[in-house]
Amino acid sequence: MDDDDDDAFDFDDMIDRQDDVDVPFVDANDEVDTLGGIGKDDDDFNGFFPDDDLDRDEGSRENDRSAVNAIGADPSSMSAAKRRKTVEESTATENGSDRGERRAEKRTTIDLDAYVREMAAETSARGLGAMGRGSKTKLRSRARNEGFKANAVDVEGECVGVTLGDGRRVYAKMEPRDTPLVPEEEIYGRGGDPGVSLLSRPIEDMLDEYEDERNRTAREAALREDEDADIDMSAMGAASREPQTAGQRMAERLRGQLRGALWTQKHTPRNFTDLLSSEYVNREVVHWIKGWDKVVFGRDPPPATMKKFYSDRYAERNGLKKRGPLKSEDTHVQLDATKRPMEKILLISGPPGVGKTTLAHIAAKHCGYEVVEINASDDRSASKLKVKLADALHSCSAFVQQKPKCVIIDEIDGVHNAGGDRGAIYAVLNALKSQKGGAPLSRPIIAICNDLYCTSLRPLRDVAKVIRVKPPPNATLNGRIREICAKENVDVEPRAVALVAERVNNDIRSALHTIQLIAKTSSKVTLREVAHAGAGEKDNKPQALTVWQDCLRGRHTFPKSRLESETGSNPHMAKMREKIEVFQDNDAVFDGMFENIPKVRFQDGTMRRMTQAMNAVLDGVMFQTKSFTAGDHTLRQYAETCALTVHSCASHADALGDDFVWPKSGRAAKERNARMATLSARRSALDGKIARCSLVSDVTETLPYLNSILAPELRSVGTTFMTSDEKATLDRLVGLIVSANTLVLDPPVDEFVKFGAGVDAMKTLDRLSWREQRERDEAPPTAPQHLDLVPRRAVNNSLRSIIATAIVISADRSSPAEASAEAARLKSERKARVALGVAGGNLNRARKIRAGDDDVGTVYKYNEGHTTGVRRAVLMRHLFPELKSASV
Amino acid sequence: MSAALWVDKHRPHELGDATTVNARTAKHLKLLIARGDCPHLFFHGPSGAGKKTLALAVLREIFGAGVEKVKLENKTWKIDQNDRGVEVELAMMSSNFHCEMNPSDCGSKDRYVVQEVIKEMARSRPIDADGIEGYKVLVLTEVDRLSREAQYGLRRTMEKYSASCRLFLIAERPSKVMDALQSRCLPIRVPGPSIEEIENLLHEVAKKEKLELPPELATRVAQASGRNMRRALLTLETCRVMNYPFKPTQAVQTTDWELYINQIGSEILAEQSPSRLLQVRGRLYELFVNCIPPEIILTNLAKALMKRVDVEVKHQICFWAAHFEVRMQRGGKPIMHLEAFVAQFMALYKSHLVAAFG
Repeated sequence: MDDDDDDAFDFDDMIDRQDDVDVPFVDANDEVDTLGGIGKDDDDFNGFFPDDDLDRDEGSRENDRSAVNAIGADPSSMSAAKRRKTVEESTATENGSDRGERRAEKRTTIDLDAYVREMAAETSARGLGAMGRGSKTKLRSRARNEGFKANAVDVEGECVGVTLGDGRRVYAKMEPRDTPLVPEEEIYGRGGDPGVSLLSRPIEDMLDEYEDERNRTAREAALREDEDADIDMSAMGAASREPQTAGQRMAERLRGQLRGALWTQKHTPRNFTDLLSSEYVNREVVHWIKGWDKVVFGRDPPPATMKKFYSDRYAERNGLKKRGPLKSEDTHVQLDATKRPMEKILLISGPPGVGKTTLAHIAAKHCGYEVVEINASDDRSASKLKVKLADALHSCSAFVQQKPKCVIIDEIDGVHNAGGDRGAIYAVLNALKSQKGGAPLSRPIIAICNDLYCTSLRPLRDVAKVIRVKPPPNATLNGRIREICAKENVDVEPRAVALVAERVNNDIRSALHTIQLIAKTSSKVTLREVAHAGAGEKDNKPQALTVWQDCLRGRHTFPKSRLESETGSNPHMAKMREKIEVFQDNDAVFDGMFENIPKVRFQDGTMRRMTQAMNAVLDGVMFQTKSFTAGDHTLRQYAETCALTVHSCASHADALGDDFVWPKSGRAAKERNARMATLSARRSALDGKIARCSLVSDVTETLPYLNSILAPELRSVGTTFMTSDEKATLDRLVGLIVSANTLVLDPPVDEFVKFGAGVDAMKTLDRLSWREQRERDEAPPTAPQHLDLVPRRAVNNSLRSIIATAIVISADRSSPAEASAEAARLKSERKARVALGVAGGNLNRARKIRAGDDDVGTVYKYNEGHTTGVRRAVLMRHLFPELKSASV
Repeated sequence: MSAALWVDKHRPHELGDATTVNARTAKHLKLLIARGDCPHLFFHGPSGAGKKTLALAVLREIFGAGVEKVKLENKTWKIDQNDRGVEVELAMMSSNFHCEMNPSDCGSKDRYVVQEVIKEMARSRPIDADGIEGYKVLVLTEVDRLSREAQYGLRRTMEKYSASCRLFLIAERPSKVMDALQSRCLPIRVPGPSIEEIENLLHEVAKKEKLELPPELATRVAQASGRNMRRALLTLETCRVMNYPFKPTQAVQTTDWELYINQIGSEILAEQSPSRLLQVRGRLYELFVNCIPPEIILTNLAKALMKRVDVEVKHQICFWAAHFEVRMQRGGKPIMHLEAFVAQFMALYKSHLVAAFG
């Protein structure tokens, strides 16, 4: 045992741990935690830290301090079970039970126990986050008077570092205890569903206790009643050992179930301080839930003591003025007018196995809620989800005093969200909104997801408070795993643990599964065992951005792993390949790579590498297309090889980082298609011969010229002032537009033939590239950079108005009394209307005047655009022939 | 009001009218259909050579002036495909005797058009006043843009319904139409008219429009047109709008996108660097989004680059342009191929410069 543990403290681990030490316990909550931690017994302590001379050496105080600090920070090194126990008591107390009180009394080992009780009582009064200033001062004064010392040297014997609520670091004396705080089986026998158990002790133990109690009373009663009777006490004792009563049998059965349970379930954290996720994250979650206190429990959420502490410290260090005392509205979470948190839903995201679900459950329970979980195993179509949410949020039992409910929607990124607005996400969103006439949402909802950027989550992301949970640091994780192994009496090499953790990307769930599996087959879990088992290797689907980034950077993409540095191998390419394979969407890989290749610094003067990389991408695309069209998916592996070629081309390049740009080609194609659709719609609106050309020749040949043909040089005057030449030109133009070859001028032709201004729609695409965005924002606005192409005349507004007038005139002129020409007239008028619609707002200027004529109710006077040269009355029915019949 | 673009106004309507350009072909065609019947025809040739004009003239020759009464409809076809319905929308111009359509407009759904729509139309047979069963003609344009599946589908249709239906296929590049289709048709090559022919045509049109066209201007317009009749006539009309009476030296307008590509070409020649490549990429995107076909961008860009480089580089440009054009057909986003071409040119030009000047 000792040998192994010596192994555990190889240099690396020590370093890791030292890093960890820097994270002090700063919250008042943690004071409880740490103080509780002090109460561990020496035996246990030694179990994990074998008689380290360091600890006992009176001479080397400095070393002593660091070692003990490490203990304080690392759950592996202190008996987490004990620690859990202690803090649990405070939790239990908070929950209104006095058991914590009772248990605390049992412990008389160290002089700090009294505090713990006091703190616990205080906490119970104000909620966990509510360590008021009063208690802090009390603590400080006590610390000064009693066990706490500002310097580790001042403490006699062993000590432990504690950070007080005001940020001071003090050291407390530790005293050995003879008896373990909690019986062993009580720790190991714990289990079951964490979602159900709120007991500080397992149910089976309580059942046992109850049975014992009953036996005892029964026996005493029997003795009292019949003192003369001959009772075989020894037989009685033997009988009590056999599970006789129903309660005992039940306890036995529960315990039996647990014996074969998965470690992950058996050793899942049971309360707040056991969580592996970072303190900050845990606290954020709790603060948010506590933000609901006013609505749910009718009490004020805890004040933002921590915020104040930090701002005070900042002010102190920078010589600024401290803020005044906390007011009641200074809470951690910003509240809205209805005293609810601004964000009505909490969205916890993070990779699998970091403890998101556990965190949500524990935090909710800790804040006094009953958890209602909706996970992927339930039917989560929009309608079902709606009903479930309504049930959980609005209903409560009339008979039983219930705790308020907190809904946890697990794996929300996997909900069925087809049907847009009617999808499941929208069901959640609707629940957040206060329904018309109904009560506003008054219970916290927590959603949990892996992929925060999943498209279906977009609407939710905007309104939710998002909390990202990262995998715990290596040292913490390894420590916890080793701790569990020790509890399970599995002999495990520390390096093996490290390797497993590395393989599963710090996913503790898979790590435990892996080790449990190996432990089943062999007595000792060694590095070799793990390396050869191949177990625990996990396919993590990476995100597109990371794949691109990894592909387009040098060999430092994957640092050598522990195993590889031992065996001397570095299968770099294999790893990259695996990453691409796992990502699956090769097309996306190629698109993204291609988009960003010109930005990669390939370190070659002749652009050879870049060309190579581009060609490799194209090769890959080719394989990809072929595999798709031919339906032969074995070709995909060649496409992946092409991606690797790109990677090897970029072997000396630095990472691109912020410069990464999302591929635009898809957007460009979309834009192009939209334009094509406009063009062909325009074509099909025509009944002339021009529609007979292909679209391509339209764009490349007809339209550019047409633009000029339709824009002759015309003075902006009325027709009466035009020269005969100008009149002829105008007539021709009008003829062109009105004739069978009419091109509807909407959208204007010149939109399709002008170049050099860039594509507007494409400019908004660089949103991913923050740096560019910033530069663009900061740069003074410049005129769009046009090329020095030949300036073209286009159909401008004044020309349009002239044309429009002329069309109306010609339509009017060509409306003879003969009925035979009526049809033709109508037709040309309709066209004039189309052209007029283009004539840009001239119609808007038409003034409504009263007409004396009884036949026509209203006359619209149409004024030509820029000149008063022509002023003629145009009847509405000339413009809108359809209205004629219905005219008033 | 007979105002129309000159291109349309002076388009020959009958085979006999085609005197200036394609006169010989027109004569052959006239002989071919003298007996009232004709095989499937496959017109191929560059843009603006007069393929469609010839095809329509042939129709008029067969059916008379009735074919010119066309109406345009946007039809939506619902096709039951195993488990799901596919909707295909297609614009077609039809008269009593024929129907014109461009199945490639439907993109990847073009095979449904071929399999269902065309079959449907080919099946019904028109009966004329005398009770004699005639045939109708389907004019399919841009056959070279049809997908492979659609072309396969067309093959069978052509044989099966040949009694009631003739197909006139029109394409720019015969190489993109599968051999099996070509062998079922009578291929008629419509070459781009020579510069002289275009000059004659321009003079003829000018005469009809009662304009004075200086021969120098006619030559310049013809040369600028790139042996494309449509372009030549549009250019002439633009010249007329811009400036009349004509001056022999007046500017002949070319299209903006060509100028733009030339500009890109000179930018590439001026600097070869990744940052320049990024800049060019933006420009290529603009061309692409404005519906200029990528093949045309590639061709013109290659030409623009070739204008100002040494001979050995020219060969390489040709090689790579061809290389990327072929690959563009094979798959992948066209814009990628264009950009890869630019990168390739930059690399080779750079190394060429290094070799030449050290």
